[in-house]
Amino acid sequence: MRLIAFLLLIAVPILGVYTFMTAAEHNWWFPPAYSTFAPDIDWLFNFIMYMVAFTFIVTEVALAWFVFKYSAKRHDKGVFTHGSHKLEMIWTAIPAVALLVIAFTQMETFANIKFASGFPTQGRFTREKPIAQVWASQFDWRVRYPGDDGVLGTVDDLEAAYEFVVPVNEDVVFELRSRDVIHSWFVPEFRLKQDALPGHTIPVWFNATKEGSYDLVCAELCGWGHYKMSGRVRVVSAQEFEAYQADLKAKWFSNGKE
Amino acid sequence: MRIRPCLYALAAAALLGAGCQLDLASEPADPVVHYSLSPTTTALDEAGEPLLPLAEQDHIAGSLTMLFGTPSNPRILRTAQWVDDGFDPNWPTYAADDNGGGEFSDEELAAIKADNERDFRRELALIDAGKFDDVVLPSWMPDLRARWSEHLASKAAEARDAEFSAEAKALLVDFYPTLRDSAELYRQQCLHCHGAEGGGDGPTARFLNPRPRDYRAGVFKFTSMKDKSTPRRVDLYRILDEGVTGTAMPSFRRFSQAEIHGLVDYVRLLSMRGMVERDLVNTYLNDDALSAEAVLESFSAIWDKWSKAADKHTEFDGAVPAPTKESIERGKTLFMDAATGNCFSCHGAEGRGDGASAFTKHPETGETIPAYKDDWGNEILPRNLRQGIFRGGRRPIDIYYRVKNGINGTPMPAAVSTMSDDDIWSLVHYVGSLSEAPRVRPSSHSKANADH
Amino acid sequence: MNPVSTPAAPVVTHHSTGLQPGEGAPGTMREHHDHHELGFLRKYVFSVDHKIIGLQFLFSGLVFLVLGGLMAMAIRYQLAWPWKPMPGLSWMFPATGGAITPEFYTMLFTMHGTIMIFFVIIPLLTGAFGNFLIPLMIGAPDMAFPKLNMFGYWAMWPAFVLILMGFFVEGGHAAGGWTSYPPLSTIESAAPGSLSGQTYWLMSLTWVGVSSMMGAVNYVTTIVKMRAPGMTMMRMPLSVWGLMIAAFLQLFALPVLTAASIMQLLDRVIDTGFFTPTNLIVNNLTPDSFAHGMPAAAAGGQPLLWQHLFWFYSHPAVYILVVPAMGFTSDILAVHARKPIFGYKPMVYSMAAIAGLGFIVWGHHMFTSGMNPALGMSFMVATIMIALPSAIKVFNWLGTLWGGRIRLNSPMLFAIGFVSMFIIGGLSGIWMAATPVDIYIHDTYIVVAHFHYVVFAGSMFAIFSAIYHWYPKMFGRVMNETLGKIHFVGTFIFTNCTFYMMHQLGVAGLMRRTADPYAYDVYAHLQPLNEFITLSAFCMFAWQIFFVVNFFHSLFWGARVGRNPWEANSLEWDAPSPPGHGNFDSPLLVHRGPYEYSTPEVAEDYLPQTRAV
Repeated sequence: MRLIAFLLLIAVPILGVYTFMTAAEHNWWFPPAYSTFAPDIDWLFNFIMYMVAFTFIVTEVALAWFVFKYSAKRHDKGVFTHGSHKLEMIWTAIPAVALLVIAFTQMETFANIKFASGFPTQGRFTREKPIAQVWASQFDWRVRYPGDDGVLGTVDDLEAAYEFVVPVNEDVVFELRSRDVIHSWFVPEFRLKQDALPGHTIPVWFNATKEGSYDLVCAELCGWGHYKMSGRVRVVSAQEFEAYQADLKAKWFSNGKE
Repeated sequence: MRIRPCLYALAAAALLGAGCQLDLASEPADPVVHYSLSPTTTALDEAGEPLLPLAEQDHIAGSLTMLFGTPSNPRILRTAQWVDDGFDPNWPTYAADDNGGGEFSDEELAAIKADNERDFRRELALIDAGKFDDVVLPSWMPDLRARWSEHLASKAAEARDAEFSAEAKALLVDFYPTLRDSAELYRQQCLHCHGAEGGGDGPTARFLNPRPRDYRAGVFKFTSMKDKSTPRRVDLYRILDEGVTGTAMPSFRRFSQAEIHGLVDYVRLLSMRGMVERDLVNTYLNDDALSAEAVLESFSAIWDKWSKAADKHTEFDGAVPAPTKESIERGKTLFMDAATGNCFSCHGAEGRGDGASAFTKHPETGETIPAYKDDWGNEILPRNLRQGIFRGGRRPIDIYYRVKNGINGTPMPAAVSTMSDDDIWSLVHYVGSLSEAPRVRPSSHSKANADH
Repeated sequence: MNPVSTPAAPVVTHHSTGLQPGEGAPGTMREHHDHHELGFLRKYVFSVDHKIIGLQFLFSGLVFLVLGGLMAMAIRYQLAWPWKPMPGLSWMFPATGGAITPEFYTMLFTMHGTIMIFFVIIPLLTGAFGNFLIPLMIGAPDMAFPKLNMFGYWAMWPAFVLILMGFFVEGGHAAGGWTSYPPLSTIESAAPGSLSGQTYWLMSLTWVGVSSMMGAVNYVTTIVKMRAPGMTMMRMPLSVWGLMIAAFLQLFALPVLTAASIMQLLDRVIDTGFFTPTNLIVNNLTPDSFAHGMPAAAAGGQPLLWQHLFWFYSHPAVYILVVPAMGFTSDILAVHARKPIFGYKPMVYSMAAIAGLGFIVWGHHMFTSGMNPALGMSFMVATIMIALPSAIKVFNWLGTLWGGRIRLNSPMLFAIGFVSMFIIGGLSGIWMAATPVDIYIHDTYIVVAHFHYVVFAGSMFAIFSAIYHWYPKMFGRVMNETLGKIHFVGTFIFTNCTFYMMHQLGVAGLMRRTADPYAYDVYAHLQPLNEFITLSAFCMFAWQIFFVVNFFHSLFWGARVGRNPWEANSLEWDAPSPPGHGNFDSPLLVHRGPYEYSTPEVAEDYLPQTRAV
């Protein structure tokens, strides 16, 4: 039993670390990072991961080793000690510092993503002039672009189902709204998630760095059809974005002869 | 002494484990779904006797299986004529279609292929890397999976050359689902609301408002067709592609264009099956007999209805006018005019869907209840035009179709013949502007403010 | 003698006469045994004896554990093979050919979470072991309020009945997730489970709250007032500390949950609008249409309010789920390592710190909810700092093992397993606490992996360990060691196969609560991994047969043991196995703390708290 216990316990850090190291090979790792702050989030994730991995390996190996070493059959008594004040101080102070370091390294990125002061104030799309309003409802995503006058909530708004088209390499602010229950706007490639709260208009911003088409997932349970609630964010060049808007407008005023 | 319980437990665990492993060594089998007859076919009369003799019901069920197959093997009967003509109704590329030519246009085919390339990009990359065995195709493509494993089996792993990968890629890029593929996708994504026969009565359906569409009548609400005609392929495609906003029908664009086209094929099959069933019941009730010829006749009549749907399309040739202040004002007048638009009588003076004729009093309880029912027997209320929810689409042309043609299966009538296109467009502009007006409840608020 | 008042009587006597328990009335205890003519109902069903009540909690908890486990298996089956006929359940879904429906899936995970938290882990930890251990460990003849204690258990029965009834109402049971966020849960038309299942859910939880409250009042009073002479607070075993701290958490946090559930009930039944904003259009119903099922048009409520209230309870509840487990583990490690616990006081303080900090971290469940992001910052710092006391505990457990004479028997193996798994669960929590990282991993499978490592691989391992450890005291027989070891090895392996791989799913961005993720491009390639997890989960579930067989076999045929089979120090081992009514048959006087193992003072390697040297 002693050997089995040791092998089981030592397998935890070995296989644990191995799994994380080979995860990318199996494609069980981050989807590619395609927004300006996605690399920051990945960096923070990895930063925590390395600190955590260190603690993980040290404690798990120590545990396995202690269990193996001190479960040997012996006829003397164990070490009689009630603890050590010095050790307690050490292993309180060091993790405390490490944890505070972790906490404070997070702040800038979070502020950048979430705080109003982090929102783009200059450029084509700002909080005052959002690119679109994204409506969530059971169980689909709909996008309203402001149309010619650049103002949302007027008759010339253009509406598109399912697909949210945004220009690449440009700060984009949109308003997130929900018509019924709580939903959540999540694009894994952008590392961006924001709940859509009924009764609230929540501004969200991101800056996509690569053209392409990405799955938009609902990340908050919204009813039986939660798994069906899919959308797509298509990132295109600035010209294509203009063309898309024109095309959308043309389709909007189409006479039905597609 | 200590051995006995161990043995018990080991035996039990071994049994359990073996049971699990047996079951799970391979992917579990697909569930078996059956088509059943519609409740109107199996209905009872006042005496509690079946309206149709049971033998006749079996006859109808058999005929339907002959014409349309089963959920695990759906196929449309290929008549002798069609065999002679080299026409296969099960291969929709060649199906008589609404776009005139009876085939997908080259652009449409190119779009389908391009979308396949996007959808299968991971698999195509694996093929490029030579990792054929890592390719896992989705569970809703049974036929494609079968063809894929056939292809893999055709050549030993060492002998796989460029030609082999080219063929493998072609399998995916040229993918167009068979009806069986589509039936499986339908089972996974649609059946729990729309039911196996498309009766709109799946297990989830009873919790939904509005109820899911019952295809069996061949009536679809949001189309561009006049005279309650069966829809064109594009009408159905549009619903699957964009969803019906304000209902539980989401957009299914996460599936590839080929898959959505396949679903349209399957929905058409189900709808035709339901229409034939209804027709056969009527034939029997009228003639008191049901011959094999009558079955084929009914089938070809309904097939014609679908294949010639394009004839019933509402055409609008001009350019769609943009809304102006004047057109909106004019629309409002028409909206309130009892002789032309008469919209207010149902939709209410403010478009809130609270017009007087939309409601009635319950004869016994005196409760206010909806005055109308739709063709499927559900109580129905006029749309509240101020919510910005237009199920058939918010584009002007969509609202135009609604006003011009009415909405199939509902009390919403087609526009009266005296209304010109200009009138209709004015109405469209007015209706479109309603949801953009500031959302203030007109009642007590403004009054209270006035008092101050 | 009135049997109902019996247990309390000696206590009253001692206190009123100013005599120490056991000292002034040596005959009292024996007398109880002579008058022990209780009927079956009184003795085993409507019992006021804390031990019987503890066992009642234990058995009902284990029954619900099977139910919750079966639901987990159904969830896993769906995730590995979406929309295939569900074995054993396919008769329920003739229309779909035996595949479950999406609303059934939402109900499954909602009820799995609810049952496992409120009907398994909390009742097992605080109900079963809290009741059984507290009086025995502090040397009291019974709880301070035995009848309240009985009521505490029987208040669970309305909860049991309501939670089971909910499965049979139209639309099925609650399906808004165990967090039941409004408006999904408050508006009847929003989900089939919100029709009336949610009402049963809320009523049931209110009863669970009543039960927990009774228990918590009782535990705190008993621990504060009824310790044996010489048993100072700092001589109490850490299990008692853990249970007391959990009781305090419940005392302060539960009223908020109860109030919130009543508010949600009102929203549902009399159309108040605490949590429902205006102008919603749910399932085609609006305040404008006169149809029922929508709260009044004037709702104007706030969905976030529920989240704040709910997590103000449910985050401390997470610590209710783990702090007693930490206590048990500390005790069991010390006993079987034959060593004093390393750093007793830091252990107590860190448990208290976890509980204290536990009250100011609830917002970390809401980083993406639309709450003011400035709050996110402060919640993040508090949350990350909660890792500190947890780390101290881990280091102290390692210190306890160091230099010990470890006896690797089943309770010890599970306790070591707890430490090993808690390290993983604790460390992965740091990701969740970090706000920017949480934006990505919130509600992904990393979260699922994290809390299953803490609650299943943590608390549940501690419960297994505690059952193996205290089984001799409960039934006078030991459980079979061989079976126990087999049980541990398989459970340990399959637990890790199941939950460790969920980290990978989470990093890949897979959302929890998604019935069929593979239709999304980003998730399509995760099916094989999910299949592996599912097979591991099935094996883990099947492996518990070793525990079940062992448990029931030992109940009747296990080897009989004396009072102190583990050669342990704390007071419960001074009582007979199983203890009779009144617990102790000789007067108690506590001389020292409970961890004097391998002390040089005596020849043996243990020194019970009551033995004078």
